[in-house]
Amino acid sequence: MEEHGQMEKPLSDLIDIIHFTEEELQKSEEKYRSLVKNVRLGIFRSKPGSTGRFLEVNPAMEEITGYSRDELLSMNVSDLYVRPEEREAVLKEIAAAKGKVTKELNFRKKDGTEIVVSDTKFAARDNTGKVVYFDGIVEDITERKRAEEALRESEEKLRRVLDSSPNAITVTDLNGNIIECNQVTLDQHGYSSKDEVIGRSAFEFIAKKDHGRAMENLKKTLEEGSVRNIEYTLLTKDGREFPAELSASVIKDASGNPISFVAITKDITERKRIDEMKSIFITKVTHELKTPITSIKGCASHLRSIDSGELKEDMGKMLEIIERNSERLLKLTNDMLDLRMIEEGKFKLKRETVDIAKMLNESIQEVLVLISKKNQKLVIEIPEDLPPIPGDSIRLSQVVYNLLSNASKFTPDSGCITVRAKVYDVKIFVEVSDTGMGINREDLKRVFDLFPDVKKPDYFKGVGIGLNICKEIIQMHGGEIWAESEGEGKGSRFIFTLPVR
Amino acid sequence: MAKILVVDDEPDILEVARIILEKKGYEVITAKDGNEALEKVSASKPDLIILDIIMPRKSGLEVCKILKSDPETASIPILMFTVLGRNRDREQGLKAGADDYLVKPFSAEELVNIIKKHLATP
Repeated sequence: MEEHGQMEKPLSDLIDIIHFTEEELQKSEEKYRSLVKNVRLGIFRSKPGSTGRFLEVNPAMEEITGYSRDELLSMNVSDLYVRPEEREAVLKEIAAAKGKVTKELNFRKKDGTEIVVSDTKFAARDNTGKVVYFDGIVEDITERKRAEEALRESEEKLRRVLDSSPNAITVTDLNGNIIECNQVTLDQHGYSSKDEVIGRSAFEFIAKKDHGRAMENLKKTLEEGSVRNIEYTLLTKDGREFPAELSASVIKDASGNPISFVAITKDITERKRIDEMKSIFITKVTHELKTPITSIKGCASHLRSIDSGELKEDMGKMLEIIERNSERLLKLTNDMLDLRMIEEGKFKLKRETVDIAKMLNESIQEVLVLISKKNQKLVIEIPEDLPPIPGDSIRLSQVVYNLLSNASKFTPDSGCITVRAKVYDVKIFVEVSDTGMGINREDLKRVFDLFPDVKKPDYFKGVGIGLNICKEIIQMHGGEIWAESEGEGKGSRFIFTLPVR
Repeated sequence: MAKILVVDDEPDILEVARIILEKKGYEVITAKDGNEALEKVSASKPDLIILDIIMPRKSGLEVCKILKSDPETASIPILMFTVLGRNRDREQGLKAGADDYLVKPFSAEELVNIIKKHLATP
């Protein structure tokens, strides 16, 4: 009997506690008012079984379910459940348990709306241990669940914003220890998981030489609220350095106290590379401009300074030099314009029928002056019956001119230059070979790059635009171009193919 | 008549310099790279050398150092071609022992005047 008595106690105790609490709270501070209003605990005693009914309910139960006390007492408890069969399973679990069991359940109110409740039950047993009835507390947690869901969604949204940012975003505490970061941060530094990053000092990701500046900027950020576009050398997981630009600002709490930093970093390797290319380009173009201008200026000033009687003697030679160097300047200008067109995607080919043999012979005529000036031998092996191909004959002759003038330029006096063409399979092969300085194996591909390198072997003389344009033109014709050489001093072969329709 | 060696890897610049200087009565020899320049110096013993800096095989700076450290050739005046706006070239040239420099592009008068300045008897 003692056991039974003990089991009866909780309900009345509980009601007392709730009443007491409510009164106390109502009397207490303003800030508790909403809490009291929102914490509405339904209290009940119910019978087991699928047709089990409520034995007792408190007023909060009426409010939670929308049913009156009388209605509640005369209905099956399971009818409150959205899935009535669920009650049997819950009761079984409680019967098997020693103490109270708390479950989240879906109830349907009288007006049909679904609510989520937190339901805590105790089983009251008779002498044999059989469950006589249940005592329980029900709290409507629909709003709380909704708020939790909203918070989860909001966090998810923030996460998505962080992860879809093209820049690395990192949040640190005021000491610079990382609290949060996005995927780009991990990618940028070569880490696969956040666990490897969070909790570590941001300084571990900055090159040692920049630590002093980073510390100063941390102070500056705190004082001024933010810093913008500061260049640092950052480190990847495997110790590789890369240049980055960082902007940071202070995050403050509601009362304006700084609590953390947020930093946005951007890998500027590519921008640095472009800057460097730009400066290489300017250096090379300046040199390429100055050389012909030197010849022209020398000629012009000489012709001006000598007596008109002597003029005739030097005039022919000098005018020839002036003309040749003007051509050279014009070609440089055209190459630069072509380059711009290619970069802007505006480089277009004419579609006409090209007689390859004719095109080759015309291009050869243009470089004959250069070749004969250096006493070089020219061998031509071009069959008459090459099939016509669709393409742009001016652009193709530009390629041939480039290859031939390079061959002449990089071949010593009295060397030999050969132009061959043949059809094989469904392609025309055109080959320009020379007995000149040759190309190192590792540079065979690189010679077609734009501005290949400053620390160059001699064959990178020039701006480094011509072969790049050749590659572009041949590829636009659906062909291929490549270079072959046995090595430095052993001559080179430039070959391109064009598909026969 | 004084003998002048002009060294540059641009054939047209060599030709222009040759025409201008021959007209003034100088004997002109030319070389297309650093190694050829050294060969021509020992073979022809020029009275003055004009050297371009950027050249294949051996740069003008290297050639200048070699010639200035050899007692046989140290007294031959060396003029370096430098490119306008590149002060570093000028400094490096003077450091390598060059006697003077001539900025490219140059006029016929500038070329002749600087040579006269460094040759006691033209």
